[in-house]
Amino acid sequence: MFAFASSLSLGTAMCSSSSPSTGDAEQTDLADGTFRGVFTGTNDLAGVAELAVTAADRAGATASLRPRAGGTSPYTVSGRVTLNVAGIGPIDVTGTLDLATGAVALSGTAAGAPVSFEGRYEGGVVRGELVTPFGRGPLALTNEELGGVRVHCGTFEGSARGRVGAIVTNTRAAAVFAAADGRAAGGEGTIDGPLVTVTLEPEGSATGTVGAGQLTGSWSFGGGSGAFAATESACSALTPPDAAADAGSDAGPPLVDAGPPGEPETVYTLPSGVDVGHLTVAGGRVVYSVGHVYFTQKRELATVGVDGSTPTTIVPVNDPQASPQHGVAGITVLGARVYWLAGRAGSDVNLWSVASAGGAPTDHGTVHGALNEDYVDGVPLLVNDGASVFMSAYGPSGSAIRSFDGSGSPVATFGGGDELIGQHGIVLDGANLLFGDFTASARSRRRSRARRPRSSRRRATGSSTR
Amino acid sequence: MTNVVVDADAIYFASRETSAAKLWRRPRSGGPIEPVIAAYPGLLRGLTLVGQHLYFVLRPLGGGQQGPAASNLVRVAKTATNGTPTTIGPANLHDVATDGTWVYYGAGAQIRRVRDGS
Repeated sequence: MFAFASSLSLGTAMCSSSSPSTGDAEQTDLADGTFRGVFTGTNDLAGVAELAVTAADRAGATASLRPRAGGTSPYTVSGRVTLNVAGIGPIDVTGTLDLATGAVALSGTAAGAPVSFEGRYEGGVVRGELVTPFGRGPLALTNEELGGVRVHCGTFEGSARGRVGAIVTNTRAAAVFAAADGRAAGGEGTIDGPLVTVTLEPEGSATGTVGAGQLTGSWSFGGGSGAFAATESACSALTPPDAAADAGSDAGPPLVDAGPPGEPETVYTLPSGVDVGHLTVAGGRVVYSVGHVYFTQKRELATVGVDGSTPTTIVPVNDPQASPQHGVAGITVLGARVYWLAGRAGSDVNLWSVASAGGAPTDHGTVHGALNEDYVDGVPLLVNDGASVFMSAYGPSGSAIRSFDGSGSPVATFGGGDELIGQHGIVLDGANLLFGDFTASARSRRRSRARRPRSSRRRATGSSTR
Repeated sequence: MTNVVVDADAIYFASRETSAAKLWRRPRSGGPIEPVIAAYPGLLRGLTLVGQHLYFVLRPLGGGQQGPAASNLVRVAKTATNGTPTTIGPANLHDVATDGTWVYYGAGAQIRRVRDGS
């Protein structure tokens, strides 16, 4: 069994020896054109991709899109990756393919965060690892000039469960696997009639039978084995972002139960011995507040890798005499900044932010009166959608939903009067901002300017509380 | 209502009454609100959805100023009705976060994680 981190090697140890050999001319001829591919990743991610590869020195040329044989100048690459993430449209990516080294590098942006791909090209096939804000995993593409390209998406079961994607051409095949427990593998191989054989990296294999829009077979990697099934129609059903966002659908086939929970393990022990306070996970790091009790007038934030590596204090503990602050009430990570709420002496609450790597905090000003802090531990009061930060404020001086742009500047406020009564947790589902209050749950269309919810409290969906 | 999480199937939210915490499911397709767990005599915080399970922290009533060990991280199938949560281990009555595979939480001065599925 191997950890998902090992899939990183997919990006650099590409194109196994199992790849059919290709001559220099074919290697070059198949470098440009349209590539279609599949992606599977952590967090139940799946996706499809389409890239246009053009010789850089021929970009814009009309005589021929095919580079001269033996040419080694970098190729330009542009295209789109579509994921099964509701509310996220196709992700535009651009980059280069260097025929001399086989290196392929792409970049883009999704939900305000970077998307990157590093892989290798050989003989009309590109494979590597795609990293997105939502997860990471193997991506494989083939040149349509290989002929008969069919892209399949599906799931696998057995001693591990997860997503599978496969591309079958007239002569070659490629497949990617990502298990629900984080393991991943990818590789390529051959097709003989309906029989498909793929050698997986770092190790393993998959064999199957393709036909009538389906690919079914068995897999073996990471010490496990089982069966898989994928169809061309499942790829088409991957979330057409925006269109399905309102319904919150994530199209693709649902994963089955991942099984009993594992044994808890310690990631990191705070040297101060103070309890862990709020925490969130972003970019492979746990971002947390040190849980100083409120009467100490201290706030302190830090991060540590999800594997316990590189603990870093990003906001040192304050001097409670010189600058007393109440405890942190909510954390969210937007782009490269960490946002949090913290009360100040005098009982108002300010929005703060700091670079994810630490540095001087930015005080974005008072955003609300005092919060009922005894309620906020373990209740998310800050969320973001990759572009805006949303705050749920509930305090003795009133309640409100507020939004702020990426610079921390206030955009809109919803609340006041009797419209909201003590809302607590909030959550985004790609199209709506959902929140609860003392009597119900409701939702509001997620907009840059918060507006009155379509469902008022009187038409709310929740049940009586308190 | 305290916490709320969503997926393609339903909205899951916790409510707090005078002496009991409840966890509800409201299908997106409509229909009645369903109790995911039976009423719990205590507090429920840190509600998080990972795969097919809801994770959260429960702390029983009583005991006054209790230490972290008094509360536990638990999980229950998101499709359960009046289900009994499975206890995973001691946890602070605070946030629970996930990267989609692991569930992260505080336990005293420790940051811990548990995999959703062994």
